[in-house]
Amino acid sequence: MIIFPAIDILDGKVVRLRQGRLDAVTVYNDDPVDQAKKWAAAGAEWIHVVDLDGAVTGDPVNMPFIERIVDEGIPVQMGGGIRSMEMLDRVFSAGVKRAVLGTALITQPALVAEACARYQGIVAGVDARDGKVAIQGWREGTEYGVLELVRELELLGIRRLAYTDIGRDGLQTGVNYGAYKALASQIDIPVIASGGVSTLDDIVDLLTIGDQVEGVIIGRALYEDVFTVEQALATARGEGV
Amino acid sequence: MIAIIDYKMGNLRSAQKGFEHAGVSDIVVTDDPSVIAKADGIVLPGVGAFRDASANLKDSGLWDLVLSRVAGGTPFLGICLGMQLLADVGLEDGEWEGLGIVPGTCSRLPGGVKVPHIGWNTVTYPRNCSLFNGIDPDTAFYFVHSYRLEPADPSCIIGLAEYGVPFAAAVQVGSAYAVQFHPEKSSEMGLRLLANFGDIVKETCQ
Repeated sequence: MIIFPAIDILDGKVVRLRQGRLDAVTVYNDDPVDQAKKWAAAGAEWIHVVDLDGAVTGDPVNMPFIERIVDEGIPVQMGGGIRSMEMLDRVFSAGVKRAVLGTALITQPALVAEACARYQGIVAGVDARDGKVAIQGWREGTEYGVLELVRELELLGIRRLAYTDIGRDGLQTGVNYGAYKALASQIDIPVIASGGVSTLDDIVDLLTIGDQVEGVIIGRALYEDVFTVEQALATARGEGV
Repeated sequence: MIAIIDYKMGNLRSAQKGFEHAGVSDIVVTDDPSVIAKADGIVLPGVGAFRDASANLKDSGLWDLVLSRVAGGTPFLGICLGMQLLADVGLEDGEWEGLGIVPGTCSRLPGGVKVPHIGWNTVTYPRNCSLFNGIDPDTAFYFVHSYRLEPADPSCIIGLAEYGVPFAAAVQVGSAYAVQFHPEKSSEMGLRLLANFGDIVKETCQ
């Protein structure tokens, strides 16, 4: 299972939000590139970068940071504000390995299909609150059920899902294990878990679901030193906890 | 027992759940040739590229098995890419060999309309076929595709839809049935179609 340390960039700084709320911000580092170097030095094999400004405004203002993180040589999965093919072309030509689509999944199905045909590294970033999908940087709810949307996305060619339980994100209340287990049993594509990882036990729980949980995105627990990247990696390899 | 063929082209579990919701319970997802060899019915789902599908089916060693089962009269249902693969050849980024069960080509939807074709569209029936039993003409089904099967002999077309141009939404050649739309995503009437295929399988068994 891949451990994705998360670097969420807001106004050029590394932050964590509570439940996606822009008024509940904690700044952890003034330099996203420095943070990426730290995670890489700790052994991280991937980094999950979110352009929060981009997610909210649709304008990818933090792209220069992401390009510099890519230059560090660590594979980057990136999301936030990717809503056009031009943006996708830009992201992949910058060397990003995987691009996470969010709002576009619902508003632009044709773009999703075209993107999946053009690029292998498309990830569907589905964020949900109480089982309903949320978009536009989590400010808008929709009537879409998660399973309903993911089934449609599979038909559009989506091969990988990053699923965030908004209710748990940044709260460190534990992952919504049941939601991941239920989802994994009803779809064909791999799932990356996100939101709410607070202890190494959460990683152990996700491991028990099996190979279909391909990875887990971890934010606040790493920034708060609840456990280290090294410990997360060892746990994900199934080594003793 | 109906076997949904797992050849790594996805859409397996939603197809399986669709059959289950349609009341067809004896249904397995498998890539095991010995299971497919004795299945009473075969379903080929799939989304993605023709080339990958063609290669995967060959690599899995199931290509000849599917051909021989269909030639032997086993009911077969192709869904979406599983329908397109029935053509002789797929013209998606090159030329790729299809199963050749329905003579013809698989080609891109013509320009002038937004491709892919995504959403609900109505289907009419050029001729009667038990696959559409109890489903009124002009019933809407859910489509997601950029390519379509163009049969050399239009008499195999059992369902016709229009998107810029008329195209084959469903075909039948012998025991092979196929639909371009996704019955598992097409609500009540889609499930009815899956149940109809279940009935065809039952009748063939007896």
